[in-house]
Amino acid sequence: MTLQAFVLRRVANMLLLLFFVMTLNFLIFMAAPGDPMTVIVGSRLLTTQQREDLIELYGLQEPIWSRYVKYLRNMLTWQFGYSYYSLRPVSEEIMERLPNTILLMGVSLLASIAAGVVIGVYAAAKRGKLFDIVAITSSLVTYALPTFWMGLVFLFFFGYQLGLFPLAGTMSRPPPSELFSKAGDLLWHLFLPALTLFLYSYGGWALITRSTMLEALSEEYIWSARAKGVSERTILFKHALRNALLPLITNAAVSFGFLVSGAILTEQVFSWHGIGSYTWNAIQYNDYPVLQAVFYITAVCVILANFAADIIYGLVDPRVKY
Amino acid sequence: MILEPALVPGAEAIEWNGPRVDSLLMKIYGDPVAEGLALAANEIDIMDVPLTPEQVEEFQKNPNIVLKSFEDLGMAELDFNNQMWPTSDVNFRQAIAHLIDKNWIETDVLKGFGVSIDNPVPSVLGGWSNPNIKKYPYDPDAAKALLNEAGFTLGPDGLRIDPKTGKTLQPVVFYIRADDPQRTAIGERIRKEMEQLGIPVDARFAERAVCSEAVLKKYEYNIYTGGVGITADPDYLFWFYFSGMDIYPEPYGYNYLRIHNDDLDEALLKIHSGSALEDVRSAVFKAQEILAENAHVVPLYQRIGVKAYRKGWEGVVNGAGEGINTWVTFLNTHREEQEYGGEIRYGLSSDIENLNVLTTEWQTDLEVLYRIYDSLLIKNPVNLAEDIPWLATSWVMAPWTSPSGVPGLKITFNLVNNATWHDGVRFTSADVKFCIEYYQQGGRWAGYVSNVEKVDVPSDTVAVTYLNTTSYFALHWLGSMPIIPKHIWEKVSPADWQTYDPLREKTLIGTGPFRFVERKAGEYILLRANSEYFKRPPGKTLTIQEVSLPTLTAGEAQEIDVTLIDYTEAPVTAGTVTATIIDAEGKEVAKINLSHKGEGAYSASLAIEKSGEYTVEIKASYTSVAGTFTAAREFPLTVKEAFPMTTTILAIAIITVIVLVSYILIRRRRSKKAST
Repeated sequence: MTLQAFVLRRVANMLLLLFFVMTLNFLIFMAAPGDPMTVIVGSRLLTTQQREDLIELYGLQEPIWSRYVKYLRNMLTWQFGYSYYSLRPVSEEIMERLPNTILLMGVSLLASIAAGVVIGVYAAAKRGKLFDIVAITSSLVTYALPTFWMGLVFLFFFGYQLGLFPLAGTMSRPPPSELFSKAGDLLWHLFLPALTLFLYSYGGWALITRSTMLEALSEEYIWSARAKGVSERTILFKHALRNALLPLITNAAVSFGFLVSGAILTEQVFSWHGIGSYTWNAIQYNDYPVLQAVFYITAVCVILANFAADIIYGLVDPRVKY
Repeated sequence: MILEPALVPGAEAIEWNGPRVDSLLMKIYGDPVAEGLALAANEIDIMDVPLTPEQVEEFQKNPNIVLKSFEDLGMAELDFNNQMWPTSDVNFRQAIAHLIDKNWIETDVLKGFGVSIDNPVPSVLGGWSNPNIKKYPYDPDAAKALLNEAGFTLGPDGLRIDPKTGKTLQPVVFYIRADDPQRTAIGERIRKEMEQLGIPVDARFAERAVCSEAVLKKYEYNIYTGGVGITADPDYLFWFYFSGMDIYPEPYGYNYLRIHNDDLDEALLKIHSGSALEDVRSAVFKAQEILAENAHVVPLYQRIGVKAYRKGWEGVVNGAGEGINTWVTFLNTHREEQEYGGEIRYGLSSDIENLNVLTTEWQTDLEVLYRIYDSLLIKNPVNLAEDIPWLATSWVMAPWTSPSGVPGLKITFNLVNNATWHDGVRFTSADVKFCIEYYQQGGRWAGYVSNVEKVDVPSDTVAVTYLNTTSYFALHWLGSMPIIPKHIWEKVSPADWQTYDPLREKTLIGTGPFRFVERKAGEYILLRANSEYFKRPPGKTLTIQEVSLPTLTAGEAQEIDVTLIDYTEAPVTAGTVTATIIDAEGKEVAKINLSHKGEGAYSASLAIEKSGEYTVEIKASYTSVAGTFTAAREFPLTVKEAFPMTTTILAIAIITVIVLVSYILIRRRRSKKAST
């Protein structure tokens, strides 16, 4: 199969998958317990007429099939309706928060991949030694610790006790006006939440890398390289890692797909104005338009990331044939 | 644990003008722990939400933080479905009431952060609360006796018999809120008590949304651990308990307890429609007695909240039912060492969502909106029964009969004449009329104006409202709602008001003490003091501190000096100062601009040709972040006549002659001496 044919086939599969996910997304919220109308009409301040007006505004009186068709059309045209909670367009609110989430998740993901890979490589090279033991233990410990707990500890210690980092937000209030100061201010605010996410996730990359490196290091071509006198560093990073990277690429691609979903607990703890805290709010108030939109966007990104992973995999590994 | 006694009316010294600060910075914290840390770290000055017990314990040790407690305007209650068997039986309900151990609730559940109550009109409402109602002390034996008396005898299997069917009683459906640990604990305890008495219970632990669907929408419950917010006026009794508010099978009726009691209805109608205070108070007392007697609902407890602020702030007013972040606090408060100026940093527990005053329901949104908009009158935060004139300086209530023959009220509001909207347009009675009519089309305030039949505006400062209700509380319905500007909202069509976003349209314009300046989503909202506020404190102004007027002689130029200071007693270096000289006939003879010489000192050269009595008018102005301030002072000035030239020449001549003659005489005498 040529690459072109492979791409076309995958696109067709993607669309089918997307349709399935969208339908599931719709049905899940229809079946969920609790009535979103309590958000709007649970207040005793509204008259009956006002409640009826809001029901009409959200189309909640229409039959389910009609709402499904409307839902599909809206999702595909990026019209996510109005938030039940704020009465503002959901797409507007998402776009307001998306850059903050991509920044936080992107920085922590890149850092954790980079650090995790390096640690994993050396842990595999020094298997059984102190470095390996410490690397595995710390990876598992930080992975097991709840992110919100870690975040609160950092906030308390570094933010409050030592006063080294801010306690909330993405910027000082009010923010600096000059561009470089603004960038510096943003990085200063980013540090603790990114550190929290980094500590949580680097361990996973380290362990995966270690595992694939151990496999690669046992191959004969590695022995040959050693016999030829190639430096250990070159053996690790140029020969072994290249082959060990392949599973990592898939994982990394899928992880990038989850960039947009945010980190709910971390964003809450650090008052980071992103998609994660937005989702948390929506869960609390049964804000279904918001939840549907976030789940849909996340699904689309993961599907696209998966597709990208397949393509990259084929480009990186010459053994893969489409 | 109560940190200070409940409020004493009149204990707070409140000055009804402000704001004293220049700006209000509202910082958003998504996490209450982070907000608490921010207060301790001096990132904010006041928190908006009550503290957790752990925070109270920690902040009590912090000498830089002041804690104040208050009774919440809300209550937790045990709701009965009064139309579903067996909770439709009064004896059954009374028996359940006797199974509630309120001492245990106070000590073990609330742990000092609440008080148990017996009355749906708790004591925080002051004179509205009836102290003499039937109470239900914890007494399982009394409960047993009541059940037996009502025919719910114990069967051989230890379960109660249903007197209607003669068989074992069907399990009582009991919805217990799982998302509120206090309600969960109380519900669990009551369930156990009921089972110990042989009452089978179908306990359903569920979070709010599920409970709301079952209880508020479908009414498929017998008992529910409910909770309600109440208002300073007890007319909520009508909305919650009047039989006409039970709209079953329609969902979300106010009276979801489905109380149908003719005597109660009679009292509630008097509350809703009575005009005379004493009649209304008597009806409120009667309603409480009936509710208690029949155990239609069992009030459980009222939360005591504790709020905190940084030490060093004066003028913080701890309000009944709300705590320290009262409307008046933001008007009054200032740093101890600085009577005017500065900035309050106020923590908000969540971001704002909707600043459309007609549709918003969220407390954080109201925190912003109540700073921007004013109402006709406000409640004294330390004495909720006292009304303070605000945009309305006074009001008169008189009986009126509508054209359809319905007895009603005519309320005449006399308005201030010096209030302006933030964009400079003058506030008039036309705004009040527009606001009432606009609110009638829907939204949060529609219920407040639904009884208004018409509004007349005989002048710019008088608004006459005609209502088809005789309710005493109608004054508060109209008086407490935020007044919106006609010239802004008349452009928002009836089809658009629900989704209109004043933040996006940049039309957050009110008459309030603060103007909206800026918002960074998820980060902060910045408000600045309204320098043109009609209740601006007299001391928050520009001061012409010193004026040095020289002794002027006609035709002679001299320096005139003026020193300016602002309300923080700092020298004003960027002001504009003019001096106008007016003669005795009132005619302006000169006008000069003074230049700044440094340290707030302004001077210019002044020369007046003609001698006489004058008045010097010094006018100064300057613009700062807090707005434009002006000052003026007048001083008398006497310009002396210039010494005449002829007289001068004559004087010089005479002196010269005298000197010469003296010289000659002295010379002659010396010559004579020499020759002898």
